[in-house]
Amino acid sequence: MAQIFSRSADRRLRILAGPIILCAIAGIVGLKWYVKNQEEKIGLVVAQPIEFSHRQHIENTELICADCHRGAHDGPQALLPGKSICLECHDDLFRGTPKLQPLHEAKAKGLAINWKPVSKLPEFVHFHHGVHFEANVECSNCHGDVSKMESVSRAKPLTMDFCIDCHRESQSGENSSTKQAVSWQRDLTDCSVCHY
Amino acid sequence: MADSTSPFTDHTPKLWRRLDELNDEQRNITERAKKLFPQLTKSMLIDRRTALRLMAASAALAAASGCADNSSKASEQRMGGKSKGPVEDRYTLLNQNGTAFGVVVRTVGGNPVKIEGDPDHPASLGRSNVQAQAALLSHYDPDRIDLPRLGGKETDWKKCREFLASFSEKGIGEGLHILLQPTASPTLERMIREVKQRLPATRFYQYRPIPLNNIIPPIDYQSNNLVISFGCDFLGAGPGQVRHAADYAEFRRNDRQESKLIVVESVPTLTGAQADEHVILEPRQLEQFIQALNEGDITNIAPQYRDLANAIINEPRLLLKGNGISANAGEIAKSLGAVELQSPQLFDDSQCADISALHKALEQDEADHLMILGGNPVYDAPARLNFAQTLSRSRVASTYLGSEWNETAGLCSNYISETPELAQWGDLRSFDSSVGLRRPVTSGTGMTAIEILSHLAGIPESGEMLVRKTYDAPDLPVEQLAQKIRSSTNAANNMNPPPSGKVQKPLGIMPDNRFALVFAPSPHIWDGSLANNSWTQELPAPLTGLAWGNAASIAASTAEKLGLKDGDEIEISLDGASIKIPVIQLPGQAENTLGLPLGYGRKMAAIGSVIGHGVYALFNGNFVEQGALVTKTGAHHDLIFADRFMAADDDKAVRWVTSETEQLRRKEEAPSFFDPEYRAEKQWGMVIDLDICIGCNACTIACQAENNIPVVGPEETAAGRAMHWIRVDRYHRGPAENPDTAFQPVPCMHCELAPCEPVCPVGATTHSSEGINEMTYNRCIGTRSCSNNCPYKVRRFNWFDYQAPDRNVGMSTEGQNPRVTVRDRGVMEKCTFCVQRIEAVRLGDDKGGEDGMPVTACQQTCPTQAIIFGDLADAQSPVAKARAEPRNYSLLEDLNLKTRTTYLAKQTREV
Repeated sequence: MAQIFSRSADRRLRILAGPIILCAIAGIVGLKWYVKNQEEKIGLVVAQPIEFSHRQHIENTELICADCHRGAHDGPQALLPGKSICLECHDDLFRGTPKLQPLHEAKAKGLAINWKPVSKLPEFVHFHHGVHFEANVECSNCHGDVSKMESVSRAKPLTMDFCIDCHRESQSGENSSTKQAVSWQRDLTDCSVCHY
Repeated sequence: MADSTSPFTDHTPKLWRRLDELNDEQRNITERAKKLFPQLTKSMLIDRRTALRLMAASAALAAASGCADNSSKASEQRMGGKSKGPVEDRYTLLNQNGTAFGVVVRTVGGNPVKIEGDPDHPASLGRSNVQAQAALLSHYDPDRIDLPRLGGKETDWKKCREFLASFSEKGIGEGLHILLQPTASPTLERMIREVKQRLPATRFYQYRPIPLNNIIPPIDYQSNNLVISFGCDFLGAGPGQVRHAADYAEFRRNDRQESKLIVVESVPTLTGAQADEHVILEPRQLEQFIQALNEGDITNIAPQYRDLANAIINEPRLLLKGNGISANAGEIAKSLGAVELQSPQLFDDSQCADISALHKALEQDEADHLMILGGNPVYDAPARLNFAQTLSRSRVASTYLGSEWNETAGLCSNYISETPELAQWGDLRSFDSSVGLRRPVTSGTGMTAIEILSHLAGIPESGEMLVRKTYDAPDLPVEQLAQKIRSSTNAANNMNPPPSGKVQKPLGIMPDNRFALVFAPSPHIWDGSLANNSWTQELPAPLTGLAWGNAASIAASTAEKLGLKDGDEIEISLDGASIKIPVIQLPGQAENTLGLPLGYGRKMAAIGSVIGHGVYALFNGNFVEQGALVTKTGAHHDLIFADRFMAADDDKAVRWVTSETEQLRRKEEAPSFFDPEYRAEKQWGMVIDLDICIGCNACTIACQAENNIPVVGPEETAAGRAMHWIRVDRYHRGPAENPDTAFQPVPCMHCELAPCEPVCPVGATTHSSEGINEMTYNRCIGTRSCSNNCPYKVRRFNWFDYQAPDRNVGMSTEGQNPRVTVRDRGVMEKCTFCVQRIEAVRLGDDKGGEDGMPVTACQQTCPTQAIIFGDLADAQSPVAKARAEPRNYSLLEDLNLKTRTTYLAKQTREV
């Protein structure tokens, strides 16, 4: 009866074993990197219904975030501005500019401007924007330096790791710039701070 | 646990939950398991190979089903929850059996998401009942029809208005007959007068199965330490339940030893469960008992009740009579009553004839057009009238105004959809006669009875203007209008009910084989109007534990005599009519008597169709009937018990003490290594006072509304998968003929040494620094180890995607509480101490209670305020004070789990 494995079978296996293991490791690392990127979405630019430059609005005017994002300082959500907020200035200002035409069109037709959020958390995370402002968390900690951005892209990962790092530092006192902003001090790493 | 070395002082005799437990001394766990899960006994016969095959197949299938991501799409649809718009609290009145129940409706972006009682309303006092909570789900009824139908064809509102206006244009209303559902509304009374003025020949009738006008006004317990109820279930379901329960709790709390409640009845009720002395008599005996009291002759009274009878005759007392006794007994009780409560007439029915007059008119073909404004007479009219047949036989054209497509709508030629309850304008008297304003808290299309009447009267106007005109305030701002209505002299009719003039027939001597029937509205679906509401259907009835159906209650001894077990079907015939219904044995029920819950067996009620068994075929407006013949049919129904599968296995789950100072706790604290470090400022805890818990189930349904708890349906409920986070367990002690009854609400105990936490492989359930046993849904992988390890059985598992938007039985997305995550399939959930409310107060989004502390949904709703929640770290907080009371104890205390939820023992009078 003929042998199932030839003489060289064992040798060939030894030669191949190395590359197979390497491929597997590379695959796992690659997959992890891919998943991480998918989750973090850093640098993600979201197309907006009206081309809007944060840089121009911040550099050339005295506007602060809360002038347009009306909930940013004290509300549960920062809120994306409705057309009436834009029109507070732009009803007169640069009225003829072609870039602003979608805004006036929306007003004429009674439509809402469908801004697309860039920093969005899943529905099982309860995040209170105003509390983080009260706690002296810099806007750029989560949003990057928006004042330099022509079109806003995601600057930070916004994963649970990212959130909890800051909560841990704040809890242990490593990060002295932030403070617990709410009454009734408790551990900032309790699950129910965000999940319920 | 019940051995003599137990470190507790305890007077509690053996507790039992069901009759079969009472005689089951062995309590063999296998036998009990077989009884609880009959379907499992079959699987015990499987051989090893089949078991392995099944395991292999299920492992493969489980892996296969894991490939599809079925959750993300559903979550996506449910999203938006958090950005639904501004939060606003709006005040209005709900219509409960025709009277007002004041509520505050929380709306998010204009959509109602939670209903709470209005603290300033006399019927609610800021608390609420099952029906008020369930109104939220009814608001999102997916089967609602928005457009009117004329001649069977959908049409628009303009045509509908023209159709209505045509009545006022031709003639004087000859042949127009209107059947109203009596509602305590001054504007409705005014509109009836207006129609009569314009169309003098119009004839009005009224019908409501549970009469509106004999409701008991708030009880003044002042100077009355002895309260006697003759079949008056004032703590049972109804528009007055919350106020009555609140007053009652105050009455008992003040002096337990001095006050006394005696309940005389045939079929046990929630009021009977609270009684110090519970007299159980067949209706006929009950009549004799009252007769004997009236004559002052106690020699005819059974010896065990003679002392009691003497007390009733001689001592100053408050006497209440209700629907649980025969009409004749009620008359005698009236003449016996030194104190008789005068119920004011809430609806002026002098302009409306009885429904039997309408029946006559239909039979004699006097009517050209019948207009039925609300109600569902085809389903619930007195059986002897055979209303459905009369209506379909007569050639009368008919129009029906209703909020759902039901039996009556099916028989009428035209259908006008009623404005959703939360979008109506109107005014309503409360059961204490004060009047208030109903105003829309959200938008909705439709018409109301007053609007239809205004069209008939030729003065078509909106509901808002009609109400304003009643109070002569055409352009007052709404708040001032509400104020004006509240203080208006139009408030009460203050008419005493006219003497009926009818001679009440005494119950005759009953032959041995005949039965007495006692009808009562169902505790949750009421007269049947809430049958299409899955929250109320799935809520287990407080005394029987039945969900998704009803059964005739029967005394255990009578059942034995007839050879009946729970679920066996009987045929009941009375005066030529008959129904078939399964029986359930009920502890504390009189012999030869059947208790029949109204409201089930609807034929056209969307999800409520063909659920349970209808008993209206025997109902003629008398709540007590006698002389029914009962035969066993041999058929069997599997009754659905939502509460059978979950119980803390504690022999002393409910404890009784005979004085307030009696020490219940361990005599000395056992030595312990447990040395917790309480880092957080607040340490949350809950105490539930069993002494004033009346078992009304309002907490369960309030929790369901607040926490987006799904409805699982009858099949899943039967399998023990109901999702309620707080259940109300029922315990009895003493003999089956007349036991003590206690109710115990069981939420998560939030153990400091929680057995569920160490067994979670992924850390989905953890402990917060404030003492909350947290559940992190997005981490849960569904091993169910935690539930297995929980001795209190308070954890609930999403076996299926119960919240899928296409299931159509639960809450629609707009009505979900945006502050609570909607759970997907395969996730464990349980009571969170309403952590979203704690966070909302902490973050300043909500005010919390009067002291600025968070209030849980169950606590806010509890009619007797038996649930106390707050900060245990503050020794002055109500919860810390309650916990320090000698009556305080934990469930399964011997396990030493350091529960954050504890109970206060029930108190009994010293004998």
